[in-house]
Amino acid sequence: MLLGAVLLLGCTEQLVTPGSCPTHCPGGNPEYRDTVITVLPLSDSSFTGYSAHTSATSLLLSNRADLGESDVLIRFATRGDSVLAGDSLKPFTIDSVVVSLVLQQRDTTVGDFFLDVYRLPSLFDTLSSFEQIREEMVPDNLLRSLLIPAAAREGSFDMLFEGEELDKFAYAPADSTRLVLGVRLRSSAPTALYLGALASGTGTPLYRTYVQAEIGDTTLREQTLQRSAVENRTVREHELVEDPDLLTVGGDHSARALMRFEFPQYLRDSATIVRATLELDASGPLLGIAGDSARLDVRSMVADFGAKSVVNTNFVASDWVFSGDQSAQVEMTVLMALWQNNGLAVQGLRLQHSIEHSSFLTPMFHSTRSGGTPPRIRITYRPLRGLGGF
Amino acid sequence: MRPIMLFGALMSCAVSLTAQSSQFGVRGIGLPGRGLSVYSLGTGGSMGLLDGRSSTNPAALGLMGAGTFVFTSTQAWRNSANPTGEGSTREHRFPHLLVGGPVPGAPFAGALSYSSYAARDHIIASPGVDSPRGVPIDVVDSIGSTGGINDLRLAAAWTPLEQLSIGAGVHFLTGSNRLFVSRSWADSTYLPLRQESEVTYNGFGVSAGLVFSPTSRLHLAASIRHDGSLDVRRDSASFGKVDLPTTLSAAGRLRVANGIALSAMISTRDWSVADQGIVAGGGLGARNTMEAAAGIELLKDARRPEHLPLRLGIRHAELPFMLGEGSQPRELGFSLGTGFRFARDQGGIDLALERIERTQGSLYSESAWNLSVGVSLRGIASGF
Repeated sequence: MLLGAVLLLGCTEQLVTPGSCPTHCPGGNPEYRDTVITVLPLSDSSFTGYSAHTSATSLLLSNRADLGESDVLIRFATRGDSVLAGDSLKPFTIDSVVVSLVLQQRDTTVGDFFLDVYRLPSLFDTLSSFEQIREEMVPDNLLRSLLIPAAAREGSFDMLFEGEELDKFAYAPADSTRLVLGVRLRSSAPTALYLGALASGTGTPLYRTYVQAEIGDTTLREQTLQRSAVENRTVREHELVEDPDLLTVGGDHSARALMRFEFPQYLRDSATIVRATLELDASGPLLGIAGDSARLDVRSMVADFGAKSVVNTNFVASDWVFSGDQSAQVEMTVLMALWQNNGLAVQGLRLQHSIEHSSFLTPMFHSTRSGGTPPRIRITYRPLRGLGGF
Repeated sequence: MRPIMLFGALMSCAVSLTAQSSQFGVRGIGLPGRGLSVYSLGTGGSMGLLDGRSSTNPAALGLMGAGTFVFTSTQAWRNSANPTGEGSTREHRFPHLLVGGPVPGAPFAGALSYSSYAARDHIIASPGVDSPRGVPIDVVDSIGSTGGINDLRLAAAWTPLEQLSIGAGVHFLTGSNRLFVSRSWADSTYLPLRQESEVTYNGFGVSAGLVFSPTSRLHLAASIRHDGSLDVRRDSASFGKVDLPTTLSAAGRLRVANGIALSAMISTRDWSVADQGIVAGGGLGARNTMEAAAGIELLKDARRPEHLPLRLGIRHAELPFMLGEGSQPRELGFSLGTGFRFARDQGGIDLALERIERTQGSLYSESAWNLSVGVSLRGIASGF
């Protein structure tokens, strides 16, 4: 019993006393240093084509000159001209049609605006050009001018078509009952907005047809044929042309920037890194709608194969940029630990937009070729301290 | 056999078997231990050189009347103050163990003891502001240490005459400090930091002493102890050497009346020999120390001197390792003790309550209550 009490009591203590260095700090004052490592000359580039426009979670509509004119093309799944009842197809008559668009984000500094929704020829697809689409945006093809009031910030907007308006949804045989829409933004002042895209989940454009099927069973007559978009994309008047001397991130071609650094030896085994920040200077203010934001993701390279370099997907450093920003900082201490702990690690980073094809914000950062301040990593570290002194 | 098993078990919990910690143990090799039994603590340590249950004088083993096992448990409540603020701490330690006794039929006695040579247990929390990138950020630095240097003594005494005992001992100094430093930032973009290190110590010392009793009322004792160099290694790499002091001590106990004994002790250590090693290791230095103590023991029953006596003591000592430049730290202690025996005096429990005030100048101070409980098995012959 005595031995038990001894062992139980012998290992408990509470020892916290206020103190201050250097008086109470054997080894001296804590010392933290700051250093900056700059991207290696000519080792920073942007490459494009990493993701397809089908991965977009937002569709970009704009009539602002600085953002460029852009419309939206939406291609729905074929509706069909009959419904299946038992083992046979039955014709139907249409009661009404509802087309739904989801507003994700708008410029709240602009009041009411309209979404002019046009029906486009069914052969139009994602290869159709801005000019081709605009040519079809004529009054005869206008389905609806959807008013988005100033108070509406986001949400789904349904357009109901009944009666004579249903004629606008008539299909020629060549259409294969496929509805293709073009959406254009119209407002008293230049503005821009985001609509939900196919990959956005709940923001997907929808096309619903309410029908009366010619079926004997009256409980089966009323049916709804709902079709979602199978293709959608932003169609821009002038697509972005990446400047080879800048590091473009995002944009129309899903550009990503690769940067290579030389991690200093003195940080490898003799320092504890407490903060590392990737600092980037943009060539100009980031353009976007008011309050717009985008996340930049930084990953460390595993193997350097140029544009097709493999990155470590287990660790990502992220930070946000906002409309109007002229620089970006990404805290990436966790990535520095990968370099510090592995002498063979490729000391390169890949910078990408978190929502490619889905944002007006397209940062273009200075590189070692552009004459501005190139990317650099600011590292705050603590040198190996003589812990254990008297 | 049982005491030996218990002794072994306690040795295995060596981490926590160190003396009371203190902010005055942050620098240098720590707060020096005392190697005293609770019996001696009750008189401020003034009877330590005449107490075989303590490990300060090997000759005192000659006063032991029977084989004895002793261990000491100390609970401390402490309040520390310094320019940063105040803090209250508590801890529990086992600063002293001993097993030994006379050799039957021979004028010899021996003992193996385990005590704290220096304790370095602390966690210091230090709030502040740092600006690593030019922007002030609130930070909290913590620095801590657990462990200490332990003194494993093997000693023997020879009593050629009834009035004289001579003793000698060897001391093995071993131990370690597990040190850490950590920092947390108010700005979460800075990672919290923790660095750890282990410092190990190895040393060797010898001691000798005598106890002379010219009369049955008067007992005199003296001892000398020399500890060589302390080999210090940090994370398995040599970190240098620290020379350890020579300790000279003398004490006397006088029975002024039946059941009343006075005692006094003085001791000096030339800790300045450690100065060079301490400074080389980043410390502020070491200073010589002087210690003096006096006590009185009032017996309730002269035939059972260790049953419910009253012990009082006062002690003043200098501490070798300074927290900052300026005057040398010192401590003043008052103690009160008693004890009782049971099982035909085969078992005993001693109690000592100490009030200790430590100061260095006006900036650093500390007050502590130490309650020590000593358990002894098989009893011990008294000088009375």
